[in-house]
Amino acid sequence: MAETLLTVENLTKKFEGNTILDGLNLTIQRGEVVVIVGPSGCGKSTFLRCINALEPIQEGTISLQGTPIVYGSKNLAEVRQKIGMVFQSYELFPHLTVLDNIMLAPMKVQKRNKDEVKEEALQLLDRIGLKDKADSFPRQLSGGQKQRVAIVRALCMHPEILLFDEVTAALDPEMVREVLDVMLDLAKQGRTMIIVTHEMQFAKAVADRVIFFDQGHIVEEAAPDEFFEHPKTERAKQFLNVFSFEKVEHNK
Amino acid sequence: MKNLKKFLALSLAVVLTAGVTACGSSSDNGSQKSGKEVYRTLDEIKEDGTINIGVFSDKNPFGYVDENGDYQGYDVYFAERLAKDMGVKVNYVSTEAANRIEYLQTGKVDVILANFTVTEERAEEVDFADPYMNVSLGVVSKEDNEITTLDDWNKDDSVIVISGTTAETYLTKNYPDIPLQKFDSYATAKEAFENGTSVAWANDNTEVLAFALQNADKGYVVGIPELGSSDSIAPAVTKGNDTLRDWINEEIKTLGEEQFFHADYEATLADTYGLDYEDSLVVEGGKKSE
Amino acid sequence: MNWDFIAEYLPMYERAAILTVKLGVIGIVFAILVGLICAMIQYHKIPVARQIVAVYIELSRNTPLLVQLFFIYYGLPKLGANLSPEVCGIIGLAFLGGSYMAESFRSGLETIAPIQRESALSLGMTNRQAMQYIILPQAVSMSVPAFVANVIFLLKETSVFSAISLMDLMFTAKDLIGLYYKTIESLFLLVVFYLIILLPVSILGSLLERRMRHAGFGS
Repeated sequence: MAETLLTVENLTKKFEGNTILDGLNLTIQRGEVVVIVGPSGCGKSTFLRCINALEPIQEGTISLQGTPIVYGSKNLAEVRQKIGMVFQSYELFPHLTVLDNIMLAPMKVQKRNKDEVKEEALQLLDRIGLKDKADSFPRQLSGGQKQRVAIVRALCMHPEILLFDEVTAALDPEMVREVLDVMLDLAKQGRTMIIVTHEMQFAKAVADRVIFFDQGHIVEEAAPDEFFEHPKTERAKQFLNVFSFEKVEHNK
Repeated sequence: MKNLKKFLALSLAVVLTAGVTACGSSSDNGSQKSGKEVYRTLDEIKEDGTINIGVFSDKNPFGYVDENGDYQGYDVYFAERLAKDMGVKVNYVSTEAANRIEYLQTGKVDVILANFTVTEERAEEVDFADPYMNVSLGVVSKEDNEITTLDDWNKDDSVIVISGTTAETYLTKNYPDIPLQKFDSYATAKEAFENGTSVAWANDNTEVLAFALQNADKGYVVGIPELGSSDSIAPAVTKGNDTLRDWINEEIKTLGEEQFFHADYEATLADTYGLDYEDSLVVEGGKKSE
Repeated sequence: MNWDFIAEYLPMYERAAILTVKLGVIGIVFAILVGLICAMIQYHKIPVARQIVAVYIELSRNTPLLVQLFFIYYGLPKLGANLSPEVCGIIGLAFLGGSYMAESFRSGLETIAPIQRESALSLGMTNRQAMQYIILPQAVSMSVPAFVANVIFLLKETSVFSAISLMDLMFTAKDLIGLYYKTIESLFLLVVFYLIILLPVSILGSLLERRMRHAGFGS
């Protein structure tokens, strides 16, 4: 029986009178890769941010391995060490080298030994083929390289669970692949991941479970094959239609 | 590269400044600029219809501004009469002690009637007319720590002086070890004296006496009523402005016939001093009595 | 040009220059401290404190240093606080400079997108750590141009120190002119010494700006 890592119960978030998330329930087991899809503005990113307590919630509870995650609480920093988050805009620290970007939190937050951290950081960089960029600054890297460094930076903290917030949405197509490859590799390693994405082929390949969000609700939840080939709800069908095209007859 | 440019630009500025000033100066004998004179002649002033007179705006009761914003004082009373007799209007220019000479040298005023003491050094820079007042130096202090002599001075005490006055020159030359606290206006010097940052204020004895009398309730006392030489106060004009200077001398002589400066004293100074000092202070007709 | 006069009074100008620099530096250091504190208060929106800071900034930016010095040097003694002119000068610079520095730092802080802070927090950093390692370094380097401008501005403002009897460069020049009437020579030395002080500051400032730009912007 797999361990339950993350539990979300009755999560409700409102903002300026609008209900963004409405009574969500979700559990994530260790080693699961959950992919969240849905139209823009349906609350997927907000959901991730709530899990990481970057947003306040009005109702409901979130807990990681039994520890409650409460917005604004004093033990947040400690809990967040177990959650790794990667943002669409990479958010590397521009004033630090790639290596320092990765090493900063493990050293200052987890108080780990510098040499140990450095060794791991270089290993991780090597694994994604960017060891030679260790002393470069973020501005010298391409988007895809930056995002891969961001992933490695999160990994170096030894998180229990990884959150990916549309991490390839801002990248050129060639670079999208190199990032997705890293994520596939992580899935293969058995990492627990929640991925918000628009990349449907990728979702099909990597997910254990696909969750379809719409207007703050979980509308459908299924294994990837099921969801993509045989969507059950109208909304899901409409959504998936967006991604398929019929051949167009050109008027000659 | 940017820094090099900056450095060159500013060095150029310094060199140019030095060059221009070197060319334009003959500072040993005063102000004469090559080319057009800086001063206005008597006729030019009369034609313009207004004379620019430099006076103090904060040296009560010699040159100051009253509650209505009008200039008053022993110097101003004379200025008014001078302009009237010349047939022109007065434009009062407020000056500080240290810039009186500059104002004449740059033509900012035609005449200085800012209680200006005649000294040899000053006479090299400007032209003085005949005197209209006697003056010496004096020192005022507070009655709980009256200063009666400058000898054996306690180095922890300082004396307030105003920059550009004969008091400053005198102390700098004759008592160089006395620490001086320098201010650029009468207003600030008096404020500082009241706040007690120094033990004494050295200035014209007429002024310190007036100051002590006007603030009798505060316990100011003129511990040294006469210091240094006996000097006179006279109007000053830009060097070389003979037409104006000669006219002023004539005017003073004429006014002597009606005892003008005695009347001036009674109108502007009697309230402060009483009549005791009238004869010793006033110089009538441009001739000192001793 | 009377070079003997220049040689004789050069030491006076040196003393004045040292005074100007000494008071200027101390005043500026305090201004930086005041500015940092105010900027942090405003950035973290601390209640009550931030209103006080806002009033302080408006007050000090909209009154000339001369007026502030007058209050401190001539006014405070009436309330019983007799401070030396040097201390008053430093307080004046710190008071005026503090608000200018505060504004520069605050705008530097605000340029840092909130999500940058969130990414630091997501790594498990506390608010303090995020501020210390991520936000502040970036904010400081963004503030450098404004900061350098403030330093030069404050150094030049020291010329009003004459009003409270401090023998700074400006007063020295004025005083010598009043005593010896050597206007040209006195002003020449004045310009030279201001350049000696300000030019290195300006150059150092440029160097600092260039170095800080290496922090780079945009992820």
